[in-house]
Amino acid sequence: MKLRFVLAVLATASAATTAAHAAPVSANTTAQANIVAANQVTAQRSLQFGSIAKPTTGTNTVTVASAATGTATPTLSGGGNAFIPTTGQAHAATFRLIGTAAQTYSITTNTLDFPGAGANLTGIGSESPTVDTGALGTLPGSGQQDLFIGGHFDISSTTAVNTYNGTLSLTVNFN
Amino acid sequence: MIRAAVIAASLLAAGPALAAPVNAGVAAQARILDPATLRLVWPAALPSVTGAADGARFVGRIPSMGMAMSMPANARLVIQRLDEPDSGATAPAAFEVVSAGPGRGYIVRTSFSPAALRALDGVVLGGELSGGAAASLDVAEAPAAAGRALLVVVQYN
Repeated sequence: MKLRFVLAVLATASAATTAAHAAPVSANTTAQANIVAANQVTAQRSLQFGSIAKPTTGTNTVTVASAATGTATPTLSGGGNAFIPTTGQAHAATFRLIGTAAQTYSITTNTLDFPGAGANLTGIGSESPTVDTGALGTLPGSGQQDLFIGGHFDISSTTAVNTYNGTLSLTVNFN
Repeated sequence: MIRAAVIAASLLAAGPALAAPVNAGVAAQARILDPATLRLVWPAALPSVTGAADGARFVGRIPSMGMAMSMPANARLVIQRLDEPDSGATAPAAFEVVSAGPGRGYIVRTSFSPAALRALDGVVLGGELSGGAAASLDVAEAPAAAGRALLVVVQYN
């Protein structure tokens, strides 16, 4: 028995509809894309108050100024007799802002907190920032700026001898 | 049949992009000390106190290491003026620290009159302290006169 294969080719004839060809018209324009760096805020250095001998009487406010130096000494104000046993142990925190040249920004949050301090440290707060170059609120031509932020708190004779750890938080809104 | 399709496209007006807030945080630390640390660590070294017409005189010594007390590698003499407002007492502001000689420790003299303190030889530290201020003297490498015998705790009475 033989098998026979038959290949049937169906040819479909399609009626090609030919559209009318329009005359091409072209024009050129320019396109521009400005790629900018993502805005960043990075922590560069912690806020350090150093060692403070608490007062035996009265209350003192301990303040670390917003400055670049890494060997600062807190200032003491108020009526207490606290003192700084060793100078040069303190420094302000440093935050680095990265963006584009002349970009403006605003600081919406600048808070210092010592969660475990309870009533031992009172009047806790951060200082107003200072900058290394340019003006606060506007990035310089390099698009990079360092912010220095100090802090302050009050101590008294009832302040417990301890090492207090906290956090300085910063929120920046770039425009 | 004719179908009419109506496609409505609405464009949402996009406002200016809002800047996303960027956050960062750093650690903060403060170490609070007890100003009386030296006095607590060396209770055997409390100075003897001699009254004087214009202030008080303090003399202090500590035993040498041979007497089973270990000396710190670095000791510090802290002098702080401490008034007592409640009792109306005012501490004398002027002071001086004088080496009393080899093995004999230091003498701390106080006075309301700074001029009265300039007569002694061997002064290693002196001056006036305003309220709340303090002076300190590292003694680990103090003059040879100090030897191993040193601790003076100044306590204004």
